[in-house]
Amino acid sequence: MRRIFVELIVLIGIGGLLWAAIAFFIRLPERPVLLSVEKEESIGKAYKDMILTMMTFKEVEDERVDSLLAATADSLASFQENPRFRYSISLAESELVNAFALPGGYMIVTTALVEFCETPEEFIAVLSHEIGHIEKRHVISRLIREMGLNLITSNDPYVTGEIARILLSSGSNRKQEDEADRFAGELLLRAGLEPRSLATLFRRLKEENKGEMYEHFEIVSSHPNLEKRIRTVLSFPLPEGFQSRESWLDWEEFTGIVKITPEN
Amino acid sequence: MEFHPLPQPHELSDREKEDASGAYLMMFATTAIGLPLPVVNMIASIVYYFVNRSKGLFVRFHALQSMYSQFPVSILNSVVVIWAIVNLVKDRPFTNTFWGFLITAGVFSLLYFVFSIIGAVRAHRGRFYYFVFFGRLAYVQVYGKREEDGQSQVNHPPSL
Repeated sequence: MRRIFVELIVLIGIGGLLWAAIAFFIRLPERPVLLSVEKEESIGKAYKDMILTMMTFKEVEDERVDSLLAATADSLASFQENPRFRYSISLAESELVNAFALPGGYMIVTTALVEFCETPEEFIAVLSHEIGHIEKRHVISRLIREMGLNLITSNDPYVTGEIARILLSSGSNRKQEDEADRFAGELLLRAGLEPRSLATLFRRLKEENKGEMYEHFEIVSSHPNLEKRIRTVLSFPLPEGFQSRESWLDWEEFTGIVKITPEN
Repeated sequence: MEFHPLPQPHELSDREKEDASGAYLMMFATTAIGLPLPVVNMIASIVYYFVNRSKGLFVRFHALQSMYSQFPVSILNSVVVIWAIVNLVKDRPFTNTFWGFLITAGVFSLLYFVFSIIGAVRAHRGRFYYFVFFGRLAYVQVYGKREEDGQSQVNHPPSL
């Protein structure tokens, strides 16, 4: 009789170990995106142009802003070995704190986000998170899954407009957010910036998240469990003796320009 | 614990051998429905056991072993199906934990298939084949002697 129980325990043990071993060691690849980088860039540009014509996202047209954001985008690309895309950041006037990644390397950040960020590191941390979504091709994967390749490659402006609106209202899943957080941490570390500044931003968002001001902020909207993400970011491994450096972004100049735009 | 003597192949009728073998083969017949709805296989094995349990200890042993070993496989596969549906409906990611569970369930299902084929062939020859854990459990339950075994049945009047 004793042998029966021993065999039962062995069976359960083998099953449990097999499950744990596969779950821990196997890294299944993401489903590949069957779309060229060039095609994704043209799709991304169409969506960006469409979003910036919407009433809620009027683009800030200022050469100094463009120059500062382009320099930031290029700097963030330079800290990666093989960035898949050339990044383009657009600043949009909006009272909603928001930043989102679009296909093909395009990002849109709002003036309210710039005002919310207390340091350039926090702002760059948000951009790094969005670059994580771009490099991991989360947005285009989601669009292909939800809309299908035929619709997202359509040249019909009506279709593009509707998909752009869907893009604004849908978020990434937990696994993708986690990947983007980790990507941001690694990118900030390579840039010599404090990787845990993302946690500071999360904490402040959590503290000040009253009303609907942050409801649409992609980085937090679909995932209220910020504590877990703060823990993940705070436990990001740092090399011994790591000293963060100052950001290259002239924060005073940048925020100064943003604040004097007419709508702010 | 005492046990009933095991029947030898020449003592068993062809019908008993076929019924015992059928306990394993029945599972293959229900596979088409059992893949999307694993619980169907479990119900089929329960029905087969209760229909055939009175056809002798040899048939009863194989039907019980087949039923017992079907339980965990069906439960594992049902969990996979429910987990996958929940993920799809709620747009949750298919994590490594899920894939690990799916592959584990697949490995157990494959082992169950292989052992079932061996069990069916052995039963058809009037032989015993003991699965890990389930074989011994079924043997104890079917061939183990109980206190009431061998006692003559006595009719009693109703209590007045």
